[in-house]
Amino acid sequence: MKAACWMGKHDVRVEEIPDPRLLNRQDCIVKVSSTAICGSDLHLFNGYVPTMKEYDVMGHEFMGEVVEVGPDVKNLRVGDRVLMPFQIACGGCYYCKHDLWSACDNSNPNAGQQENVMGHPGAGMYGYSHLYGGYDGGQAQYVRVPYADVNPVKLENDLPDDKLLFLTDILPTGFQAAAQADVKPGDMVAVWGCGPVGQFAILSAFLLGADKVIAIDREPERLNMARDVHGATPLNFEHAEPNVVHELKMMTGGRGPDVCIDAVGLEALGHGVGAVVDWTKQLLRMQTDRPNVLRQCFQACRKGGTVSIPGVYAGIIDGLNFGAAFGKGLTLKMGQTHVKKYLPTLLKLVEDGKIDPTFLITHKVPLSDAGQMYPIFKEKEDDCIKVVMRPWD
Amino acid sequence: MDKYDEYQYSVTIDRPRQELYEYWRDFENLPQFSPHLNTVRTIGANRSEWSTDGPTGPVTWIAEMTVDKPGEVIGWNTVEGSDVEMHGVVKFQDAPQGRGTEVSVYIKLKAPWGPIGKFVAKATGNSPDQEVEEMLRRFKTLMESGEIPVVEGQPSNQMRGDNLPGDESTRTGLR
Repeated sequence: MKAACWMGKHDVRVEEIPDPRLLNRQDCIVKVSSTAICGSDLHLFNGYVPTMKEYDVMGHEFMGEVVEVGPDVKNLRVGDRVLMPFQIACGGCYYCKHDLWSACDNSNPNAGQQENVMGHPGAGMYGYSHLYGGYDGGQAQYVRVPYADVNPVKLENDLPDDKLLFLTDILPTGFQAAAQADVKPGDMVAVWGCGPVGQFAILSAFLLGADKVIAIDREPERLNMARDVHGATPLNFEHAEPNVVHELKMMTGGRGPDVCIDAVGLEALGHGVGAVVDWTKQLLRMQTDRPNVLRQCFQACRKGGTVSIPGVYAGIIDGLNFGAAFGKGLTLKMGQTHVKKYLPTLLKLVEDGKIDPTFLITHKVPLSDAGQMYPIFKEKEDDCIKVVMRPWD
Repeated sequence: MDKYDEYQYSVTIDRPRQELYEYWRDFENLPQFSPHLNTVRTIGANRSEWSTDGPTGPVTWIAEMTVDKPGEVIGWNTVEGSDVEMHGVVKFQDAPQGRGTEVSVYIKLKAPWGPIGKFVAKATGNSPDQEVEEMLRRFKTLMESGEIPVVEGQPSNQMRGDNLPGDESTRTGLR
């Protein structure tokens, strides 16, 4: 089959590799109809996530059709059309039973490695380094899916893929950002980063009744999208005088936003932590500019407000104004998205036509173009915001 | 030189105490979730023969069950003349708030070839502390989810050639 393989830093190539097969009794094989490049894939592309290996298949946003099921799979049949949440859950542990899917105890074969780094391991993910399990990802023609009775979400509608694909990650991620911050009618919300997750966080904040959402970025096409599609108030941080925090206060009667959402994260750092060498490299990067967004959130947020962090953080933060968060009594909410917790609600909204996520798609290409699309997405060339790929075109 | 090394680890498993006890009590099940234990064969009412790959070749020992309280605790010792000297205890206790069972393992071990053996074992990825942790983690995973996740045998593994005999998937998966 064809698959987008990680072959090294800044080197994703579409390669011809063997088709996946069932490895466990609860597995199924999904024939991928659509897949997307996620902003967090750029951490892998840029070589910041340790424990990547040559030929690892990229991709954790994908959907398709079930073409084979293992002997212990009861809820799925060949031919079922399914959405694939980006994380892998076992369905049997305390966390899966309590809707905390990304905290699944059992789906990561390299749990020990993660436990050493974080204290406790998190769920495995498709195509996201060996620290997250080493599972082959969804930017391929076929994917082997573990715990098939638990993970795939069966579709009963005939909506096009483009309306459904983002339910696998970025739409629930944006929604969780607003929902976990308990956005209420009348709230003022500020969102840092108007990439795909930021766009869906803005949409979700309005959905939950926010009065005003301020969208912070510097890319004109992203700010325009936030304004034109959702009705957000754009704020270009490069033109903020004297700074973003002051502007935000002025836009909210001096109080500051009730909810501040960091949809940027420590991009330069990536997800995981590996060897001492990687630590050192990453620490150097962290010292430069990356905690900026979090620092601004703490400064800008109103007293007693909530800072919600869908952006990815991985290691140690130096120079963070934690005293501001303490002094103002802020609530912090963060973490990987529990996709299955929000997916049914959001799917219903998409089916009812209340959300149409297709506004986000700027590039539709065959999977064979993946190698070219990674640098374009990374550099935001050609006003690129979201790349959807078809593996069979 | 002659001191034992001690290892301890605990997990909470969202299954009833008795069920976990019974699975463990059948020592022949242990290789299902012990990364480097090759076989366990019952050779008497309370005795079983265990085998693993040591740093320089196969290592075997005979374990005798010394404590057996149904649903609560199982203890075993190696008998004299074994390659390894080991005392093991596994305890099963109800976890609070209906969260299942707290399973704790305590192992006292005198590894063969003393400190050199230990060093070699670590260098080849067989350090006993990791072994004990991994064993309990996999026990939990098997009991809660019905199988142990594997990636060996995926397309990328085949391309890299790291799908070698001895990968755990050959033991737990469909093959």
